[in-house]
Amino acid sequence: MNLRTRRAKDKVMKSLTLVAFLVAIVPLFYVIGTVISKGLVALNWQALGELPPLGFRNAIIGTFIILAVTWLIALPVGIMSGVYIAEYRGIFARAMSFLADVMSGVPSIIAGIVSYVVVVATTRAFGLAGSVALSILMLPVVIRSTEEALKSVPNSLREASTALGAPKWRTTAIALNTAKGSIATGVLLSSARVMGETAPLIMTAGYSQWEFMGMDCRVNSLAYVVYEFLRYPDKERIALGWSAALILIIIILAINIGVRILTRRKYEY
Amino acid sequence: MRSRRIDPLRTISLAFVFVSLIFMATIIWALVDGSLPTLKEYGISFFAGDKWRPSRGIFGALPAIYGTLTTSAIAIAIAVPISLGIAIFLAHLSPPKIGAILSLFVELIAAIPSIIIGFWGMFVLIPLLVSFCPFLEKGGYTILTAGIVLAIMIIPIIAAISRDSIKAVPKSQKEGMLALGATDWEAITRSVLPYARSGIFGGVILGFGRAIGETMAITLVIGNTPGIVPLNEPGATMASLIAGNWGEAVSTPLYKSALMELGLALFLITLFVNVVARLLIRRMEKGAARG
Amino acid sequence: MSIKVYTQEENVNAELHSPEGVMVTEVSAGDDIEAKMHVKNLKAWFRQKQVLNGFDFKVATNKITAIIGPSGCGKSTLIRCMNRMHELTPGARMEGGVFLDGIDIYKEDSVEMRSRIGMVFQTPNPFPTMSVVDNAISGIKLRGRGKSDGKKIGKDELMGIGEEVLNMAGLWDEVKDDINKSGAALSGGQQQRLCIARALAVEPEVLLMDEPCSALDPASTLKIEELMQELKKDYTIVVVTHNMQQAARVSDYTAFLYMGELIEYQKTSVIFENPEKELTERYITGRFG
Repeated sequence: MNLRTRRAKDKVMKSLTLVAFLVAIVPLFYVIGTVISKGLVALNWQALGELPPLGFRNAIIGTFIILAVTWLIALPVGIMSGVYIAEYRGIFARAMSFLADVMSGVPSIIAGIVSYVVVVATTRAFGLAGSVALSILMLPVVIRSTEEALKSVPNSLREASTALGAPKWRTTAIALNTAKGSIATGVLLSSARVMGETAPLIMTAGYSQWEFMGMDCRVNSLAYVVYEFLRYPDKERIALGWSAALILIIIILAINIGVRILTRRKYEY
Repeated sequence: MRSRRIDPLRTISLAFVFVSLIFMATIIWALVDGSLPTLKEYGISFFAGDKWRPSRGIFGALPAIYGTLTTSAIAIAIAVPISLGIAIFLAHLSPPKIGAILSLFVELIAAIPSIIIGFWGMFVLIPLLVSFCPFLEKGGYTILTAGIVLAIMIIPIIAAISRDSIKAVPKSQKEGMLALGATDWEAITRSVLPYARSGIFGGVILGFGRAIGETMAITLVIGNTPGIVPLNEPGATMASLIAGNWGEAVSTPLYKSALMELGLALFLITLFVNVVARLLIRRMEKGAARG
Repeated sequence: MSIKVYTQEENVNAELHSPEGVMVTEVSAGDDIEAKMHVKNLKAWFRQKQVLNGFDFKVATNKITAIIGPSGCGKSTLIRCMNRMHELTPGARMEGGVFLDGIDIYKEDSVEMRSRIGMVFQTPNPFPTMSVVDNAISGIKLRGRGKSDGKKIGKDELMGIGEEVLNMAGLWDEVKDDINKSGAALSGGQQQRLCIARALAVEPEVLLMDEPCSALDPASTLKIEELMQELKKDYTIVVVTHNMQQAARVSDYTAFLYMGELIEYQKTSVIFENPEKELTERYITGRFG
């Protein structure tokens, strides 16, 4: 190969990497464009304010209720586990950290099955089961975020606190306080992800056309409304389903973009 | 000398670690428990059966396993070259000032809920593919379509991890090759990529793991009719079979249990794949920390 | 023994402020040098900061030229400008000319120029995924299998080149039993000699060495220095070093750089025994830097 061919190959291949980038982000804009154009058709106060089949008010409320209960389960367990892993390093802590990494790859449908067996089959608390399923997905992310956040707190801070005679829990509380923004970021990104999860809700919280009646009943959610309304060839329901998708994607992208701009944090996989 | 003080934080946080462990152990226990009826009824033949006919009580997992592997393989085949291109572009060629924004675009794809991608595939991509591809004459709900949708979803994962691996390669590696009279592209492909290969491989495997477990988007575009068929025909994956049939299976214990056993198999496969991926990625990150 | 100063040929900006405020005269080694490379009025920047302030500099054919000076004086930047590596750093910029046998390397193809002007880096950087012998022939492989006369280079011939350059780098006897091991499995000194072998395989005319021994132990350093003496029969060598004893031991000419200025450029014997400038003398005697 002479130099001219090599130069040409260099140019062509480098241009192809740009093409690869463009090919990959076309779906992003295509999907967002589709959701906006189809979602705006039926988006009005009725859609937001009424119960199905006229609107999906209960789904907006339900999404946040399910998320709130998910937080109640996953945050204490996840943050305290993260504290242990970051503050009491050893082979056990390292194994837990690795396990959390591996668990973050558990398919969401698995979380649904597990929650069905453990919660629905025993207590028939559908709404709670939804939150348990999402907790299974969120827990590993909270553990790892807390661990990473605490590990990035400079050691000098801990040493200063210890030197003043503060007990270990006090020192850790100070470190946690320093790391809280970073932990919150991880929690928000993970929340945005589980809010869009539909598969685990099929086996658990499911679909409801009534007001929220408690975590022991079916609890509607935006993701499930999208699934329920877009599946059947009924024009009005489909239009409403796209509106729900629009609301969902706005919330999720707002969290993602907001967090990314404020913290320059990378996405976690 | 003071006696060793009890550290309350250690005790409490350790207790929570055990709660986390219980969470994780519960996953395995629940899947095994839920699968017991079919495990007893069919034993190992469940995974050898090539027919899935719930109405006649025939449950063979092979068609679903076939669907999972083929869709994931198609996705990997499409996603790996594109993701590598993106990673090279973001790490070495894009203007540094807008690099962060360009990365954000790619990462946002991963943030879009699977259900929305699935319906976009159903309403937009399938009509488009059918009008362009002559080999989709039997309709757009095929294994191939599912593979394409999966590719879109795993590209951000593979691209982001490959980009990090490539960025972690010491500058001296690329310079060493350039100083021998290599072009940019030669330096990247002959010194940077080989150096970053274990991290890139980890990213590919992680993407593969995601592809295997991806549910809603696949359920909506694959046609959900389990069978060992050509790629341009409808099929089903393990995950899509569970999600698509849960509603009708829930009242038939054996049917429900068969779906759970699929779930157990799916879980074990993803667990294995993720362990491998995470080991490779952690090795890459450690290498980066050393400089 | 006292050889007097080489007068500069272009005494344009002769008068410069030294950092201490002492007026110094820029000196460039003289007309008697048979120049392989010629650096003309070279200025270089990193972002806003100017690192080279514009000077001329000739490199003698088949000689070893050492560039010395304290950290941050611009010696690495100078050598990286000489094979167009400087321009690869984001935010880096340069002006002026660098000539190889009278042709401006900045007007030619950078890839071709880099293959004619080889470089060895501060930290040994063998390609860890390649075997020892593949490392050695990695540069020659870039040209593909075709030779200029249209014939193909066979695998045996490549291996032959590998053995030859490993031999030239004094490495063959040490590694001949494990040429299929990873290049990163060698000791630091062996790695650096592997990098030299790798650079030699592309048959450069000039070899630029950027502090090639700074990461090595004394025994390995000695081996590299011996190798340099061997290589200067066929190559023109420029070596950047922070080690003045090394410069004194190996080089024929020495340039002293300070804060982006070429303070003094002499025959090595002169600069170490009877430097022209007070600044040079203070540096050489270890009073600063």
